[in-house]
Amino acid sequence: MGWSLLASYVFYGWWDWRFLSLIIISTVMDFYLGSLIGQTENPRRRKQYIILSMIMNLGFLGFFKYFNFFIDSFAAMLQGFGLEPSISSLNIILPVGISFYTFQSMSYTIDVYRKHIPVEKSLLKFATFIALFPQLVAGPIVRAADLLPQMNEDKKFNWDNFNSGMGRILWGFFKKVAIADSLAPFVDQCWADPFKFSSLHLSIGVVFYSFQIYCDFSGYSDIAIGLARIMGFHFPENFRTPYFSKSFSEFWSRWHISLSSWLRDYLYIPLGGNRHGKLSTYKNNMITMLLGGLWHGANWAFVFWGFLHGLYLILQRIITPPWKAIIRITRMPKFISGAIAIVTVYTLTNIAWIYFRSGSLGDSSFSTANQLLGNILSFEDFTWNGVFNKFQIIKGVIVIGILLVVEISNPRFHWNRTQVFKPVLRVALFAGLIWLIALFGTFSSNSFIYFQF
Amino acid sequence: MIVVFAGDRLMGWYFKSQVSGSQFRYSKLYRGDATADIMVIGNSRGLNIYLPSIEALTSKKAISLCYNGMPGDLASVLTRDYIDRYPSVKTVILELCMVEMPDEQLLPGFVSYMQYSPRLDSLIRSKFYQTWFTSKISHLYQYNNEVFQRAIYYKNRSDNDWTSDRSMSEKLVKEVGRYGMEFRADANQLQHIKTITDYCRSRSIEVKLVIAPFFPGFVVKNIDLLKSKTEMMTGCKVYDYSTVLQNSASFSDYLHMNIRGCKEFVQILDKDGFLTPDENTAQNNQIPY
Repeated sequence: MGWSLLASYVFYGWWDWRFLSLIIISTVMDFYLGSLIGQTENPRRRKQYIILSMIMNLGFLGFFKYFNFFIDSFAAMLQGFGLEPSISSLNIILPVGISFYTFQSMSYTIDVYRKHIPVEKSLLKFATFIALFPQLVAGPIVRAADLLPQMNEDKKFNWDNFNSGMGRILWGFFKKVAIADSLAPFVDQCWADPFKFSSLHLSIGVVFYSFQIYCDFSGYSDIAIGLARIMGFHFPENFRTPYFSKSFSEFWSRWHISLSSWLRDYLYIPLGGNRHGKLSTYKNNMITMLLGGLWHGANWAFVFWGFLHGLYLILQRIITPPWKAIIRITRMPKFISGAIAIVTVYTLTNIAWIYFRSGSLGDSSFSTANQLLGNILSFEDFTWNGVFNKFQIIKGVIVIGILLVVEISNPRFHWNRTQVFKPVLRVALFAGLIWLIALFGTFSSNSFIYFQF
Repeated sequence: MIVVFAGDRLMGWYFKSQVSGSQFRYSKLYRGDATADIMVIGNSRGLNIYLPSIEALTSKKAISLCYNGMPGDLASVLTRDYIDRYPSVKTVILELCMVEMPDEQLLPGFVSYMQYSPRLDSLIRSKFYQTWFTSKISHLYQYNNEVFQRAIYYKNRSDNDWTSDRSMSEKLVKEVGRYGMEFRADANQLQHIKTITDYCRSRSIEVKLVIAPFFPGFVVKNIDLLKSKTEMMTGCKVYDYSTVLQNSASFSDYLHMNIRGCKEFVQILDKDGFLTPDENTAQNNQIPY
C-alpha cells in the first residue's frame, strides 16, 4: 500500500511537485473530518463537519479552477452596465486532476455522513484511495464505497488480472493514438478557422470530434482500468458505447458514468430528483447539467454545453409520451424507431459538442462555435468535392470502422473477458492491436483532452 | 512476440510490394519508370503546374514530384535522386513558394520510400530519428502515413492530373481581404533551392524557378524579397506569375488554382516560351551577376 501511495505521489509530483501539498492537505483534512463525522451521532455536529469538508473541497476547486472565470465574468457584467471596473485576475495554474480527486474525496465524506460506508481508520489507505495513480489525473472518479474495501484485500500478482489489464491497456492505447490522435489534426483545422471550410467538411469535422473525444477519454479510462486491474484493483466502467443511446438519460448512463452517477447521487437526487412534479424535475435536470458543464471548465461555452444537455433531458421528458404514441399508432418496427432515436440523440449530442470543443478557445469560443454551426446548417458546398484532406478522412473512417466493429460485437463475444481464458485468442487480439497501432497510430505526443479538466 | 514480429514482417512485405508496384510518382521514380523531359518539383502549388496540359502543348513527357507541404530538404533529395536515375531530363521546373510553407511533418511520411534511397534514409534519420528507428523495428510502421495511402490510391491509375479541382464559394471570394501571407525568404530553405539549382547545372540540366498564380486580391507580402534573395543565392531568374490570373473562377482557394486555372496557367507558360528548353540549357536562365 505504501509503495502504491509513494508511486502515486511521485507520478503526480512529476508534473508539479508544489501541488502535492494541495492533494495532501485535501486528503488529511477529509480523513479527519470523516473520522469526526463518524465519531459523533449529534446531527448538528455531523452537519457542521460535512459543511466544512464541502467548503474546503469546493473552495480549493473554486479558487484554482474558477476564480479567474468568475472575476472576468463579473468584470464583463459590470462593463455591460456601462461601468469600468479595475479588477485584475490572478495567474493561477490549474492543478491537474483537481476536479477528479476533489469529487472522489467528497464522495467519501458524504457517504460517511450518510452512513453508507464506515469511517476509514487508516490514513495510508485513505491517501492511497485518493491518489491511486491510474485514475488520479483523469478519472474514472472511483467512489470510496467501491475502492476503499479493495484496499483491505491482499494484493498478489495474478495472471488473469494481468492479461485482462493488458487487453484493456492495449485497446485504450489504440483508441487514443490510432483514433483520437489521428482525428485530431482534421478537427483542429475545422475549429481553427471554420470560415474556410465547406458545410460537408465541417460536418465531418464534428463527427470526427465526437469520436476523438470519446476515444481520447474512454481510451484513458481503459488504460486506467487496465493498470488498476494489473495492480489488483477493480475500477467501475466509465463508458458503455454511449453513441448507441436511444435517449439522453440513457446517454448519461453510458457516457462518463463515474461523473454522471456522482452528479446524480450527490446533486440531482438531493435536489429532489424527479420526486416533486414535472417543473421541479426540469429544474433539477437543468441545475445538474449546468454544474456538470461548469465542472468541465471555466468557460461559458462549457456551461452552455451543459445547458443544451439539460434542455435535451427536459425536451425528452416532454416528447417521449407523444413519440411512444406515434410508434404505437403507426406500428413502427422497433429497429426503425430505435434507429431514429439513436440518430436523433447522436445528432443533438454533436451540436452540443460543437460548443464543448470551442470551450477551450477562450474569448472566441462562442463566435467560433456559432460560425461553425452556421456554416454546417447553411449546407453550402455540401459536396465531396468541397472537402479537403480526403486522405485524413479515409484514415478516420477506417479507424472509426474498426472501433464500431469491436464495440458492436463486444456484447456478444466479450473480447477482453474471453481472451483471458483463451490463449490463442489472446495472442491474436494482442498482436492484432499492436499491428493496428503500428499502422494507424499517431505518435505526436498529444496529451489527453480530459487532463485539462 | 514472435507472432507480432512475423506478422509485422509479412504485412510489411505485402505493403512494400503494393508500393513498389504503384503508379504513384515516387514509386515510379524509384522503380525506374519515370523517364521524362520535364520534371516539376514543389508543394501543392507545384501540383498546379498541370502535367496533362504540358504534355498536350509541348508533346514532351513530364513528371511531377510535387507533394502538399513539400519542404526544401526533401525536394532537394528527391530532385537529386531523380536526376541520378534519369540524367536525360532536360528541364527541372521548381515552384518557389515551397520555401515559404514547408510542412516539416511530411518528411516522416516518406519512410515508405526510405529503403530505395540512401539520401532519403539519411535525411529522415537526421531529422526524425525516432521515426527512422521505429520504422526499422516495425516494417508496418513504414506504411503508417498519408504518402503510403496515396501510393495505394494510385496503385492502378496515373497521378498525372493530381490537383485540387473545386470552385470557391461566393463567401470566400468576398472575404479575400481577411486573409494574406507574408514571405520570409528563409535562408535555410533557400539553401536547399541552391542545392537543387547547383546540382542541375552541374549536370547541364536547365532549371526554372517559378511562382505560380495566387488568387486575385490575396495579399502576399515580400514576394520581391523572395525573388531577389533567391536570384542572388542561386543565380537563377525567378519567373513571377503570381498575379497573372485575375478570374476568381480559376481558383480552388486563395493559394491554389483549380483545373481550369491550371490549364490557363500552363497555356500562359507555353505562350511565354517557358516550357521550351533553350538549346544552351543550363546557362540561359542565369542572371549575369
